[in-house]
Amino acid sequence: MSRYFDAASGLPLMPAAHRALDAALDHGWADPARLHRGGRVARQLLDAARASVATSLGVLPQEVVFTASGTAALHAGVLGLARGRRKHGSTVVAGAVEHSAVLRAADWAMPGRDPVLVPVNPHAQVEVKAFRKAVRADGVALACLQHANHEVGTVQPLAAAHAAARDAGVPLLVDACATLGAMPPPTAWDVLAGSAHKWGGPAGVGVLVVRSGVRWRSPLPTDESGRWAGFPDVPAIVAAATALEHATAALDRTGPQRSALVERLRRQVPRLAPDIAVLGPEEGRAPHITCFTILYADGETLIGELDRAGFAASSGSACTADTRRPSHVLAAMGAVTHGNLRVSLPPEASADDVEEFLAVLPDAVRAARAAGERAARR
Amino acid sequence: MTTVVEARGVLCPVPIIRLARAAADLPAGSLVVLLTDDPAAEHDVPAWCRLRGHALLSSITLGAEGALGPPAVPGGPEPEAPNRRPGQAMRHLIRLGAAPAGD
Repeated sequence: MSRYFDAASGLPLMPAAHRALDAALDHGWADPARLHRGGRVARQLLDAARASVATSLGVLPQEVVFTASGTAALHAGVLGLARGRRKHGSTVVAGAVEHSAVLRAADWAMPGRDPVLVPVNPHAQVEVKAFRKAVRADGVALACLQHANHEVGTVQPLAAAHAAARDAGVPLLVDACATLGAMPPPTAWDVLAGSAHKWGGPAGVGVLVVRSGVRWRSPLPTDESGRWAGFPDVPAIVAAATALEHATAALDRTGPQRSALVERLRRQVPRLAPDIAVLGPEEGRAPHITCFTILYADGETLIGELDRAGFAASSGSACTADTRRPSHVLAAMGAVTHGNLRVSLPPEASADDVEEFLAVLPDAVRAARAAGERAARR
Repeated sequence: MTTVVEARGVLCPVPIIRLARAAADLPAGSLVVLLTDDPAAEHDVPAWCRLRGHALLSSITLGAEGALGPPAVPGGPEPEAPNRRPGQAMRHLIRLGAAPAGD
């Protein structure tokens, strides 16, 4: 069976969520805004799902908005804060290693005005001093910082960043797409965004949480009730809530388990072949994501060879990207961008899976370096 | 004497492989000029030098005429180049440090 080590790109639908989806497809198809029986059932399912997500995240149900994806939640978060704060400023401050969905929304929010990117250290961690200075500047509308980096796993200093933003009167959007369901949800934020397919829910459900009292205004037309517009995908939202409940309940088990397996990878992978570097800090990491630089290796060949050996992993190297541009995360860290290997473990990854991965990796590295050598001779 | 490593027209990881191979044959203190037009090299050359203990003395942009991209037809559409996107040609000047084992 294929071993899926690309959890940070998305997880398969959790069995419990699959069952919830099936049931909700049968019963929750009607318009929850209608007063007939079908509408009332759909409304009850939607309200219960909202309450469940709120409980999992430790927030109030009325603070939860469902969007069509994690990216849409991030876009709505950035653009809605920019709109709500337009009298206060027009600068967006963001960590240099934020997800491209955040950086693109920051560009889009303020046409012609580049966001202020806060630099990171070589471990991809945002410099708190620089962050504090950036949010204190005149005319800052909002600041964005991820809970943990989606490529390297580095946890960002949210408590310090949120305190700095609050002192400056600037709302902080936290992108928790990479971590919800894998770590306890963060608490230091004003607006939070998450993505259901990364915690074992279905694709097509994003969560935006806006803390009561935060000046967020929908950047798109709203519905009659003044909320986020559009017919909600009630069955998918129900499945997303179920998956988050299960993932949250299992955190005590999956957190330490995945941390231990990632530690094993970080210790062993550099011993398998020369010239392999481990990226990210020793402490302060998401439990399930880690990444390596395999010098002189062709990233595309590496991912292909691992796939043939039954392992799905990913790479931030330019040769594996549609754009042919290297990962902006690796570039901002000052890391080598070629030969990049990201491993992100699903909750049920076992020690056997990891040992087998360690067993097949040397051949994949050899093949990827041979491919690099061949290309260099041409 | 300065060794020139030509890596224009090739993509990552080739520029760094050619650079590493040249460095392996040279004593510490040697100067190497690396020519690149891969956008990834802009990040990889300084990162590799730091990792390997070599000094990157300068990286300068050569401009469009220095790039070996596919020839453009005047007034015509952009040439198809699915596998490469001509970046800016750059000249990197590196002074080799004492190379660690494995180079």
